Amino acid sequence: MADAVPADLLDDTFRLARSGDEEAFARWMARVEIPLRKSLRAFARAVDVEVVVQETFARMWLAAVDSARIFEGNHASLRFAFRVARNVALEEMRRYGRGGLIDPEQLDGLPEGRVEAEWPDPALRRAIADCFERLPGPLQRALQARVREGWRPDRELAESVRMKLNTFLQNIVRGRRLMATCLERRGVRLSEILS
Amino acid sequence: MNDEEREVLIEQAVSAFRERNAWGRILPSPAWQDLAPEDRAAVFERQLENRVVECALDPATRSTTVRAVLARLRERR
Repeated sequence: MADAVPADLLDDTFRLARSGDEEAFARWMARVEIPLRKSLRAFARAVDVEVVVQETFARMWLAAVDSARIFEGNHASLRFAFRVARNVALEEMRRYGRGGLIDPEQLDGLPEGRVEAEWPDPALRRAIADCFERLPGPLQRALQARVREGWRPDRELAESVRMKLNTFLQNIVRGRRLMATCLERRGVRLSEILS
Repeated sequence: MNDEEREVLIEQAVSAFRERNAWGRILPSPAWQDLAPEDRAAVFERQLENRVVECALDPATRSTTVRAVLARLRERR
């Protein structure tokens, strides 16, 4: 596992974002997203974590460009983001009345914020790229549409690769299975890396 | 629901696309809402793995979640 990213690198990136630099904010989000998601595992049955992560980042942008707000100490932005994410998750849980799906004791032990120095690891990137290149044509096209433009509705993505929606989704499911098998042959189990 | 239908539903929920209501609030995926709690846990794990794959394949290591948020910020300008 890589070392934790130097505090000044993450904090410098966030400082740039505070001047209204969206590209710097995008770099900061890219650094923070995976550890932030992992910290929300306890909420996975009760809330749609994708909603929580996107809403957390939207609120972090507002906090970043608020000149009255002070971020002090190493990884202050990361620690603040973890708190925001937890609050958003609790709000979502209350909104939909799903409190019974979570053990309150789990919330006491939520992980602290930490990001890796180089993520994804270069060897992991190569393995993923190699396995992706080996996918059969239709599966690769479907998965590529999701990887490149997955913030758009699936119906639009399916049309862009000239597939029916259900075929598009089935191709993604099959593509993921083949990717997982290919990665396992190279000794890579994403589920273990991310546990 | 058979296994294939369940897999397709999970895959729909893995997407970073989320509708928003009239006030701009992001809404849970309808597919996610149709899933049982244990399948939602599977969505979480698959989303996590998928975002890593997206980062690995993107020159700027940006996932579709990051790009969804950027698109939202640009809409607000």
